[in-house]
Amino acid sequence: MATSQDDQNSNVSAADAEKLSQALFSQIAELELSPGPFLKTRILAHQKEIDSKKIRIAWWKKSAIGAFSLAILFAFSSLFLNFKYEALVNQTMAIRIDTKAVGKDLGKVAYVRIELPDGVNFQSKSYPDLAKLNSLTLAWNASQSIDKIPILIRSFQGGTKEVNVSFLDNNSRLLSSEKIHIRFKTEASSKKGII
Amino acid sequence: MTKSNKFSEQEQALLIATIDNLMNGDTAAQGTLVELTQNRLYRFSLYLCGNRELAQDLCQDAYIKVFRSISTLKDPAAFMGWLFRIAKNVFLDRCDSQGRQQVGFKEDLAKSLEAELKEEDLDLAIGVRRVLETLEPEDRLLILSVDLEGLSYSEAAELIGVSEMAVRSRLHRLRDELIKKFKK
Repeated sequence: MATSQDDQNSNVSAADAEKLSQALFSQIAELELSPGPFLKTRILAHQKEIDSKKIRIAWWKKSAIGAFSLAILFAFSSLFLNFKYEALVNQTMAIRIDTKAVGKDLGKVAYVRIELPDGVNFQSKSYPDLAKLNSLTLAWNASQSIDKIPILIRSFQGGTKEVNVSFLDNNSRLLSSEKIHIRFKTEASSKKGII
Repeated sequence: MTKSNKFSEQEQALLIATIDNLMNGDTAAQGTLVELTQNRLYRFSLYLCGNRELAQDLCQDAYIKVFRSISTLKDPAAFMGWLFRIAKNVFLDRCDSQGRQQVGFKEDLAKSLEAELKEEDLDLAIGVRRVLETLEPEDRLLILSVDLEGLSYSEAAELIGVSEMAVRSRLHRLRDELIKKFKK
């Protein structure tokens, strides 16, 4: 058992203590001490697991955001795409273009241009050649008291189609435009209630 | 890789290049980084906690933190000090959550080391471990970082979170205590 007197005698200077301690630890540092052959594999495997977990979480986050965006989009489209018309494929139907939509510029309207999407044709017994046209421009007399223009069309394809109507002035400048969405159902899908 | 407490110039250059690669998102560099530094980190952790299994766990947790926050390392040349600081934080977190008495130094010292060391080295390693066991974790950390791993006083001050003057004074006391106990 060392006494306090011994302790005092054995006290060494800071420099000597540093040398002795470093000498001791340098011997320790030289010892063959290794973490074993599997530490690296274990660490990398754990890291890989963390990475794949992160990827999975990111994928779920993206999917959730995507699904949410789709839901919002669907809600908005149902809100704004109000279908005025539904019709069967290969059957002639009448649509009416409402000129009141032009508002205060109605007096300036000189032409009304109607553009049909692919797969939809104009129908007219008097002018069968109209069926070959994709768009039609009608001269318009603002003094006429007609506020709705009837048009006959027929679709050869099912699905939602968009008819563009433009109201133009004397210089063919656009005053107003309107999009008319029409659902064309095949007979089979209409029976099943599928559009 | 290296056994001593310093890297050779070649090893240091390779370490810096590996860290650069890792910072640029090269995940293959993770393996190289572990290979280069695991011996030193394991030895540091083993003498710090005194338990082989726990030392391996500390290494694993420290490397995972390194991979996650490598972009925050300002000076790749100071990587080892940063790595030891992370290992220290992992160790002290365990001390806080499990209680200092329970962390490490539970297993039979000889059993822990005899599988790895030659018989003639065993006494020295166990002797040092027994002395380290008597020190407070922060004191153990200080003496290991400077005298075993060769960190400078300023690096050790940063590691422990005290001034360089405080490091010098604490080290003087610790070295004195260590030598006396080791002689006994």
